[in-house]
Amino acid sequence: MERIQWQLARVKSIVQETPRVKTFTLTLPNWIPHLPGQHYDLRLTAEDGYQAQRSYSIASPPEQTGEIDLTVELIDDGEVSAYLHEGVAPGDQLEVRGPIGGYFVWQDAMKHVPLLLVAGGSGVVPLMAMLRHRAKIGATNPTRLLFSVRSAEEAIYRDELEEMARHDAQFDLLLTFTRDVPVDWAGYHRRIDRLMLTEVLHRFETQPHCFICGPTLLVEQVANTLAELGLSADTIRTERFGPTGT
Amino acid sequence: MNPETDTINEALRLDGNAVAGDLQMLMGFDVTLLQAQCGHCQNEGVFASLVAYVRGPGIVLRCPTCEGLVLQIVKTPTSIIVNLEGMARSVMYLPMS
Ligand SMILES: Cc1cc2nc3c(=O)[nH]c(=O)nc-3n(C[C@H](O)[C@H](O)[C@H](O)COP(=O)(O)OP(=O)(O)OC[C@H]3O[C@@H](n4cnc5c(N)ncnc54)[C@H](O)[C@@H]3O)c2cc1C
Ligand SMILES: [Zn+2]
Repeated sequence: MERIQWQLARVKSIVQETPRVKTFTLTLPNWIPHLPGQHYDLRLTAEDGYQAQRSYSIASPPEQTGEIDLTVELIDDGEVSAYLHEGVAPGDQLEVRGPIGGYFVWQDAMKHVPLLLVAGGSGVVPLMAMLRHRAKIGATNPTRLLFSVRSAEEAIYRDELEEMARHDAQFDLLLTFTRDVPVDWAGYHRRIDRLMLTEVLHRFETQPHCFICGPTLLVEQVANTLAELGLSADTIRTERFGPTGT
Repeated sequence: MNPETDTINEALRLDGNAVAGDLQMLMGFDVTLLQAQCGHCQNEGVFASLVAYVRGPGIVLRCPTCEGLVLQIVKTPTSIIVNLEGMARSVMYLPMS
């Protein structure tokens, strides 16, 4: 593990993913290869010295060298996310440190084990890095993403995920909409619950590794339910984002 | 017990992943995979699964099983104070060669 230090990244580009979500591509003077699932800490400093620090997962795979993508959801009255959405433009500098974390990561050594990814809202970000890297290395382990979002327009990376599912017979995308559903929607239309998780688990022939990420209460509920359904604790990895959307 | 503040506290609850950056700067290594044993209930688990509250003046980490205080970090303008009182022991398993 290399030593991490605060460094000044430059905003290379900004992409609007959904009405409330933007991806910031940052160029780093001291880029360190990351593991999919890791995050960076970002720190804002006001003129009077006041600082606010938050964590943001890396969305890009380590194959994208020299830079990182951070995908940030705008939280109403959120201190840092509102500043990033409203006050940052390409060319600006942002203070970050990373990559951080060795627990919530998908390692190449796991590429032969089935994989269950469960996300709520922006919790999909670190899982996206895993999926992008998995595609890059050509892994063929059965993989499913159960992704809970409020409505179709709020599903981050939806086009890329559907494209991935079309091209990779071993990857399934299972969306569930908790509020508004598209007219012709035949899939899930409720919060993730025990029945849904049972159905998803039934699609696996052998027990998968699980990564669960998103709003704290969703993460805890899904992890508890998966444990009740018989998955052993050491195959379930969780990361709580706090009070984010969904 | 105030149901409203309880829910806010619940929603704000993070875990060991969220404080890994601060601790890595402090200790020089990644703590998330440490096996930490709670000094109150003796339960053992990875550091990343401890529950974390980061919005106070410092950082508080609690045992996910008994909610006992495991680790506290207080930042002052001139120092960082780490209180490890609630941790019975922590073990780093080395990768097998
Ligand atoms: C490891 C990790 C990775 C993360 N990755 C991502 C990511 O990839 N993308 C992403 O969008 N987010 C991610 N997050 C969440 C992110 O770090 C921030 O928490 C999020 O952006 C909100 O920050 P903010 O400053 O905008 O909002 P804040 O100002 O922190 O407020 C957030 C919400 O909580 C409420 N709130 C805040 N403090 C209190 C309080 N004391 N009492 C009551 N209510 C309060 C606010 O009203 C608001 O609704 C991650 C979190 C962690 C821990
Ligand atoms: Zn305990």
